[in-house]
Amino acid sequence: MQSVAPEKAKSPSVFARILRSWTGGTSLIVLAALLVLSILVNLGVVGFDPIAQTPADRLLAPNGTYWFGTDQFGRDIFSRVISGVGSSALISGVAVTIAALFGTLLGLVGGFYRGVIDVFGSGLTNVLFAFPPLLLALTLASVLDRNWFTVAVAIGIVYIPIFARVTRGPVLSLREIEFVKAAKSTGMASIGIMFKHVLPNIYSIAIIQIALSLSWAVLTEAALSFLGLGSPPPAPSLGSMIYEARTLVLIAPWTLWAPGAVIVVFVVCLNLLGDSLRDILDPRSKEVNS
Amino acid sequence: MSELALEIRDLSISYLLPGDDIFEAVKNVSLSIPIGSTLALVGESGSGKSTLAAAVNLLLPSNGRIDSGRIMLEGREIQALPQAQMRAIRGKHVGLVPQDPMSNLNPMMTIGDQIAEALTAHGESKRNARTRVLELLELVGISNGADRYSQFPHEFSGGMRQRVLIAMGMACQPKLLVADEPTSALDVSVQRKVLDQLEDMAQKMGTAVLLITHDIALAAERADQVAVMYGGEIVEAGPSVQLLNDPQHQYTKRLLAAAPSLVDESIVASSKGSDEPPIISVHNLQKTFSLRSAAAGSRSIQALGNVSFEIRRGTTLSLVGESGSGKSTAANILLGLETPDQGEIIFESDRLNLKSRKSAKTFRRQVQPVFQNPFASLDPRYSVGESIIEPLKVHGIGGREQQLARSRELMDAVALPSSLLSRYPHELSGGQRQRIAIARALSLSPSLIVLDEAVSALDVIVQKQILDLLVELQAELNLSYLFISHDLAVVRMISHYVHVMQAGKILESGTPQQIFQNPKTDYTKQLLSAIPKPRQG
Repeated sequence: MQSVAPEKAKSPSVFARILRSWTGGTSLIVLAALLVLSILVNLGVVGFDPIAQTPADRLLAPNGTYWFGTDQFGRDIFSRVISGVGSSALISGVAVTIAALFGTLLGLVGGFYRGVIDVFGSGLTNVLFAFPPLLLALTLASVLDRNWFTVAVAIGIVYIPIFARVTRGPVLSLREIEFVKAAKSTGMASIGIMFKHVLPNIYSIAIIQIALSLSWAVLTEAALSFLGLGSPPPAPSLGSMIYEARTLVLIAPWTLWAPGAVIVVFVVCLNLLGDSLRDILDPRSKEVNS
Repeated sequence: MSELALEIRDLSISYLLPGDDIFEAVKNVSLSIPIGSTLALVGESGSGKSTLAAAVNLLLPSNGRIDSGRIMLEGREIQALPQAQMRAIRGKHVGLVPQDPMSNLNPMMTIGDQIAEALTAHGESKRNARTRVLELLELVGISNGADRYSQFPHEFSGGMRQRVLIAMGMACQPKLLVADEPTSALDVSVQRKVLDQLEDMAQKMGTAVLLITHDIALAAERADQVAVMYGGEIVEAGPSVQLLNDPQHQYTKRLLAAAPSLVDESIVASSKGSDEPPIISVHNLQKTFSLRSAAAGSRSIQALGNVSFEIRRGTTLSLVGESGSGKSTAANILLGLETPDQGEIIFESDRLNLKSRKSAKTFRRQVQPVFQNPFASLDPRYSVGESIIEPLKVHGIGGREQQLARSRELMDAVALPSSLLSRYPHELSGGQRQRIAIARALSLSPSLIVLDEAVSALDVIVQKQILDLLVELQAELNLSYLFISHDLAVVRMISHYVHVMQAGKILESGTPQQIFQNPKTDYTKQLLSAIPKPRQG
């Protein structure tokens, strides 16, 4: 409808709109709280040292001192879980940054220039897609040296093809769109057009994909450390905590529940955040207003 | 009272918009169509005509609501019927021919089955349905029905698909057919055939037609009655001959004055330019595209075969033809978006070497484009001002202050207030966007502007305004235009010289007068006959 009054030029920022939506706002607050807590735990302000062992307090049920109980070495599970969230967030964040950076670039350059680069990029994407993500991450993690950064790199490589594929399609249609042709007709160089006209128009797609990929990366990181290929012990990690709790589940079930519940909350919040970001940024949902 | 196929009384429809705003799309509209007659509803986009058409089928979007009034089909009130009952009426009593033949057929179902579905949905047996479908296919002019029955939509051309949609709309012999812009997605010469078929069929079956269109000339040609809609209201209605010859309402007068097929005179000074030197001449341009498809293997299509033309300074040269005629390829070559396989371009008596970057860049400054789709021709993330001065930045012309001054000057030239410079495209109308696209094209002070279907997507009144602006700018700045269009009526208004193209070749050339009064080829005659001519008497 053309006659509808146009949107006000100053629309509220994306951040403000997330906070206003029920799911987006709640998940953002929960995520922020988890991250702040984990920083405080690592600084020693809250809880205990996550790797300090107190043999006298082994396998205590949750109580006033140890909120989530203790494990078989007498370590505070609350501090370990919260610190684990921090390291999981760090690894996932770095992994998704790598994936988004290289994947988007691959999709952008391949889709825009077509030709050899595109054939190579799409071929690589297809090959990477042929592997189950976890299997590929496992292979990469076992080949690379084991520390948190190499785990992040392994997960990042696994998610590159998703970004490449998600961005390539829109780039293919953008390169034929009239404002791009108009820019070409002024004599603007291809690389300028790519970064000034094409990239800004796929930002929102990449941002939505980043939010959704974060939750997958958290799960992959947990799975890798469950299988013993995450950050090496004794660094607290949600996956390895669940692995260690397997044998204790009958005598001390809290050792399993705490990391499991935290993973669920973490992943659900990331997904809800991604969903509300999509509602806000997706051009199709925007059309209703304009 | 059962003489009327459709009667609408005081109908008001509104949409609930995000933020609890209410938009009244249709206000107190009354109209009636006697059985067997055709009423055309004319209006620009946003006038409420499609909302009205959807309401007749009770197919309003979920945020739309009938606020008051009555809709009667053959005397029966339907506006309050539940959807379940309405389903029995749709198809049987009121048929629908939608606009886009590409998206309205199921690609996974055979044509025959899709038409048969319209029949079996109303209780026809499968065997009878098949016989009836074959009859229908013949009625809409698709020969070889038995073979065609089991083909899929992708095996049909656009015009054929639209005929299939007509067959589906008419399958149950409804007393009313709603045709919502049934031909605007088709090539001009196909349009006429499809409309002839529709008219013929409606006559045979005694069906009343509600024809929705933006083209008042088409309406006057096809309909007994015309109703003009503007801002949700019917501003004028009457027999088409009367409305055409003696319009009462201001808006109807403007519509008639702007309709290219009714304005049979040029808006440019015709004698101009014949003694001017050519600003650009192209010789023997050739371009072949190779296509690869799973079915046909690789084959090549000759988009341009030995095309030569020249444009004189300060004049407009038009290339006319249907899609696939090669006219856009020629435009793209001049814009540097394609390189020709062969041929040469001579610009202001210099032969162009398009392979050399430097000479290409100076040439780029001299040739600027305006494209068809006002919604795609501006980057949604750039403000109007940024879009206009971008070409200046690319060529490093002037400092920030001079560029800003230039952008205000350009806004003035295209008759827009400079307060729009800080706005974004989504805040502007189609006509405003097209003016900004023109301003951007003018920013480098080019000598040639390539107008690739530049007014085809606009409503007629806006179209006329943009054409007037182009003519004005041409006189003022001594600009040359290469005007690409499928619409001979528009071409007649603005051109000094015309080439008619088909399949990559120039078939016929001449001044608009020569082409219109004395067309030499059948193809040109066919294009000319596609221009709607109002009914007489």
